Amino acid sequence: MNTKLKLARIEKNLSQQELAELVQASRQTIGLIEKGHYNPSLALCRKIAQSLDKTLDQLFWEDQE
Amino acid sequence: MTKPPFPMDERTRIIIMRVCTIMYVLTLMALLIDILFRQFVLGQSSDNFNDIAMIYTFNVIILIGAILYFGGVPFLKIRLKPILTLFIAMAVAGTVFTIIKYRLTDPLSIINKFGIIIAIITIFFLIWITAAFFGKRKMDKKL
Repeated sequence: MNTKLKLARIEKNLSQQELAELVQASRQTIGLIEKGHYNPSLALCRKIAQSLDKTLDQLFWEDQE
Repeated sequence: MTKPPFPMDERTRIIIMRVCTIMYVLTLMALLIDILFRQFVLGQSSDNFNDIAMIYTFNVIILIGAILYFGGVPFLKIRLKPILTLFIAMAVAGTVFTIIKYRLTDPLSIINKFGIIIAIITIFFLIWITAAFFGKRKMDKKL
């Protein structure tokens, strides 16, 4: 599950639908990425990161703890 | 800007492509089963299903050619050994199939058919090697 993405989205006060519109994806796609059921392409990752003012590492890099 | 009636993102496109691929493979398999069934179970003459056999053959030639052209096979250079192995395998399979189909016993007619099989397979391979060559050249230009 990608909690970092969900937290960043909430931090920005965006709904899944709003983020989806910003990155030209569907709400379902955003939901599936947050649940960890879909691996987005690098292009979509970059769009999401830019929309949320985060880096790719901050959103998608998993710390090995 | 007007919105498209069915907006698609990358995930929906991937799903559609996956479904289309599976359905395409199933259609090819159904065509092959149909050809074999008509030929060996119903004992129909090949004139009855020439159209289906043609569609199937062209599909397979173009499918393999397109895979090779668009770089679906990660080869570094066109090597002779695997090409020859595949060529021989196809020639043997084609000959065995023809012997069973026409119930050939006379060595002369087997050799005669073998020549035709080799000619057909050579044409197939020439198309595929050409596709692979131009595909590789196109990719090398991009790199």
